Amino acid sequence: MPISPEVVSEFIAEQTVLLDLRSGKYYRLNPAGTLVWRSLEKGVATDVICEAIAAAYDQPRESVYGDVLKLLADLTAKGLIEAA
Amino acid sequence: MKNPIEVTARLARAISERPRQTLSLAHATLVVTAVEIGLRTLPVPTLSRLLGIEVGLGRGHSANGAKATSRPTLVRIERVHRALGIPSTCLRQSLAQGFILRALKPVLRFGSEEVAGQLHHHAWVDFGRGTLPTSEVESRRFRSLGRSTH
Repeated sequence: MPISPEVVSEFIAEQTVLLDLRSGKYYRLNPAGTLVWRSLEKGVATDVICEAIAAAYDQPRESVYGDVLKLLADLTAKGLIEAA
Repeated sequence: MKNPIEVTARLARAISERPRQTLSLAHATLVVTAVEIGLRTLPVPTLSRLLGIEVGLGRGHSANGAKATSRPTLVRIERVHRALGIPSTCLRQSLAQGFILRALKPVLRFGSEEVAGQLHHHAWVDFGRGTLPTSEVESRRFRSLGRSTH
């Protein structure tokens, strides 16, 4: 899922700050969201992102899958990433 | 409402006594008005490009030079904002100054910093040899937001 070209970001104090240049709105991602965002920047597939999150937080892959999909849907709805 | 004849007379007197300053102020007023209309009708990247200001998409810090850019335009813009009752935000100042000083190839940057758990956001224009509306030292507190290089 590619990141919108009008979105800029930076990693600050264990979180990620996102700015949608079109709307001027800022967003903040927590450390888990940051991990997802960094994976998206690298073009990593959703399945692999889920595995990385599950490994980082020592959780079963199935339990994080829904949360990751929810975050991706939220980012898509806000226009921060583009639907695959 | 002030008497238009009196206003015109005062304006004519100001131009004759301080022609350069008065014209600069009139110019700043036009620029501030154009920026305000643009901010209410266009996305920032589009407005910035129309004003001749590149949007900086690189991460990290900004200006490398040590020299500070002179600030007479900032003073004029803040004065116009006060007179027109427009909030003199960093973005408004940056766009107006960037346009007035567009010959210096300004780059509009956005940055954030965390202070005591609170995120603070800032916009500034980077002229390569200095930044406005805040100095390079102040601007360097903020980490520039940018696109991923992956």
